[in-house]
Amino acid sequence: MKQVYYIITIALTFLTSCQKVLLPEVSTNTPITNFEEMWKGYDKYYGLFETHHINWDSLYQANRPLVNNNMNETQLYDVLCRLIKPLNDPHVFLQPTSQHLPRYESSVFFRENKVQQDFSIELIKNNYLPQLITIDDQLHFGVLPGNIGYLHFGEFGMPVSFYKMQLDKILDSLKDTKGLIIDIRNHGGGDDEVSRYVAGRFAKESKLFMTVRKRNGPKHTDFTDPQSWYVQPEGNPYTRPIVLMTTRWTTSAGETFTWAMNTQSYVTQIGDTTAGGFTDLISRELPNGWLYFTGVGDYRNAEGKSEEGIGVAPVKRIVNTEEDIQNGKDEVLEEAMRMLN
Amino acid sequence: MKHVSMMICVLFLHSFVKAQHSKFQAGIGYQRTWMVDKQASPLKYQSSEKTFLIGYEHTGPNAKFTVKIDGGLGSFFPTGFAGRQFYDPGYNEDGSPKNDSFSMKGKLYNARIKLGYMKALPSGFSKIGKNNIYTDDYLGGSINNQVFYSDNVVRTGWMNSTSLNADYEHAILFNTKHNVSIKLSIPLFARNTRLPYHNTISSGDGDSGVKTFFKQGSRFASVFDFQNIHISASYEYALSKKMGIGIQYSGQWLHYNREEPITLFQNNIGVIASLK
Repeated sequence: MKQVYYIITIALTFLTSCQKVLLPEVSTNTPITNFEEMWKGYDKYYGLFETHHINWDSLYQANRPLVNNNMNETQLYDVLCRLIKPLNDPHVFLQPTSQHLPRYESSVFFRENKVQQDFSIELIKNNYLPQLITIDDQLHFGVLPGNIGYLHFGEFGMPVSFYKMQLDKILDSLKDTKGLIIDIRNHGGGDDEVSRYVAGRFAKESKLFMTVRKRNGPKHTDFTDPQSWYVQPEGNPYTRPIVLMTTRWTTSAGETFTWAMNTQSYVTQIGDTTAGGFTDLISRELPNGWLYFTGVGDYRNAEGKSEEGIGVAPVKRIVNTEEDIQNGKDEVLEEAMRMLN
Repeated sequence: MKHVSMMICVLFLHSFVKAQHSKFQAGIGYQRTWMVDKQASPLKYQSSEKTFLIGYEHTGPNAKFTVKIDGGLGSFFPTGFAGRQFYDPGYNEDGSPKNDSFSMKGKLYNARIKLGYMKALPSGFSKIGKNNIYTDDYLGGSINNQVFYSDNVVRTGWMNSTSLNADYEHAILFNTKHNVSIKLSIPLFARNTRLPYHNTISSGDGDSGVKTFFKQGSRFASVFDFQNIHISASYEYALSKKMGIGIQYSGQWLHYNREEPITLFQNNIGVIASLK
């Protein structure tokens, strides 16, 4: 019995050790390998070098000499931040897994603005719509004075089936309103399939709203064939006048939703230009366990124009200041209500 | 003449013993998986999984038919990074950074279904003292579908493989109570699905994520670019004519090159109960 026990122990030890032989080598964790891995990752997957006229090789030449294997974690972090800073893209950021090193946003706007000061759902509930109904943190609706519907989306992170179920009930309760305000001023993104579906709940006709192509090879010009995205009427669409409110914090799937909504003639976008970060993004890892994120696509509006780094401009620009919000006033909401009255 | 008669009797008895029998099996086990998926990450990942197995085997005098389902679930993380945390990148209203975090350990889900048919090759018999030892060899094929999915922040290990395999089994029956079996399965041809190069799933057609994954990420593969070797060794003790209990080891080595190489090594050890 002892012999059987020894045989099993030896066999298990041997088989467990086999993984070192049967699996390929992985990079050692040094500052240089971390730099190389991050540079290569963006080189292989980032979709906007050509659109943004970025010479990625030159950024390697400029930053690689700053890296050596004697540097500490903070020094490596500084160099990696320098590397991605010129991309200035809401979908390009570095996420260390060390507590003392914060996320580094390559986007100037998100680096300089930590907290959104021009929108507050609590202000709307307290001062404009006490009967605001909360489905969850990111979905609210109600009826404003003057029989104007109000619908807020903070993200599109749930499956399409969730929005189908909720919008069936919400739009049924808003069906007799004379107009609708759709508020996506703090929309942080989500799935484009959800953007397409939700926009379809407000669409009278099928319209092209974007074309999408994504990296599919190592060259910066290697992309999939462009794929056309159409908004199509879904369910029993709400097609009365709609005011869509956006800000610089409206990003990603919030922006593809803006494109989709703007295809319909009765939708008017007001507020501020959106963030300018449309594409799908992926996360990747470095040998030291840190994460870095990159957009992988080249998304174009219905006219074939890229608005990456630019955003979708409203028809009417109106913004809240920090003081407005602190004083309990939402000028953008009040303008939307005036437009629908 | 006496010896020839005895030989005929023994062979008849062997056939009688071998005649036809069906066996249901159920088992639980423990599995270790190591994976390097260069399409997702430069890091080596590992998991420790609890596994289950259910199976049915019908053995006739000339052939054997098998259906087997097994699966596993366990925590999944890069080697050396079990304690890694994702720190909240947000800020409080006063502009101070938030300090909450969550563990980045994900889960690896994997499951396999296999249908196999093997023909019996000429069998053997020997005797050691009073002990009868019957050996059987089987050669055949199977259809196998195996899926790997992880819920990590990076999409490590997403793969579905449907393959046509060549299978071999060597079985030893010792004194009708002790059954040892060694099996080998190698895919010849497969339809593999991985994420496309850009590692995202989206479709303007309104298709579901699963449908899009299969539509955009599936390719045919042959033994030249896809290797997925399964071996297993089991021992079963017949508690009675109807019931048996045993242990089983199985190992898997997988390697596939598209879009970027994925290599996996898996060891499983479990206990199995059989009902005939």
